[in-house]
Amino acid sequence: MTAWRWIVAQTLAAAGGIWLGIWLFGTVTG
Amino acid sequence: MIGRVVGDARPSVRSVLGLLLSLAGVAAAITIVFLSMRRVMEIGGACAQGGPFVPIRPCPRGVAGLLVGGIWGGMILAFVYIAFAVRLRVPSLGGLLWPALFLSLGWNFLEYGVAPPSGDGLAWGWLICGVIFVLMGGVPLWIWVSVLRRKPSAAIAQIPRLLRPVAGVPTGTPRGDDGLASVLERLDTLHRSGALDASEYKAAKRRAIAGDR
Repeated sequence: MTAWRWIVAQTLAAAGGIWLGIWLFGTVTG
Repeated sequence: MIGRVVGDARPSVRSVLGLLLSLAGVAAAITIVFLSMRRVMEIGGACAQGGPFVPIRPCPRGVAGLLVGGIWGGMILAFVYIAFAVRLRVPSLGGLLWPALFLSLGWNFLEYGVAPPSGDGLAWGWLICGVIFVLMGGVPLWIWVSVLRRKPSAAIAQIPRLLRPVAGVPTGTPRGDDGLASVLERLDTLHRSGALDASEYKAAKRRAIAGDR
């Protein structure tokens, strides 16, 4: 796999993690 | 460099999932710490719960647990992520985690320092913390970017050698050097056989050492 594909995959994973964090925070505190 | 094939030829599904899920976990943890900190700052910057005294300002629901869980979970997952990146020998975003944490928390300090929720003037304590956090996050980010601009290959698992045994990467001779050694040997053979003259040999050797193979 080329370097840029690894970077794109990881960027998407990080974006998913941010979404998960917002959802979890809202669920626990809301 | 960016289009070059990197990492193991056939990485295991488990390693790839571990890499991506641990990174998602770190991102979630940083987000949770960021949001929890804002929630506490909105009520004045401090809260307490439990213990023998009745707290004047109780913590917002769930925030204490989220903060502790986010900090510890984030640190542990960051190590797990870096270990997977080193093992797979792929470009890692590990160098961005520290700046992401400190710049986002620094932003909270600056935002609430300029306009405190209490409504009175500037909150100098928070502004000072904000400047310190932005420096703590910004300086490493600046160094990371300038290193990458000079040497893009540094993006591949930029991990201190000390951590490599933890990540299961052999210490001693890095794997990449085997490739360089064999290229140099091949060039030497071609030079000896007369296929490359002295100037061609020197130029090819320089390129090989510079990583342009």
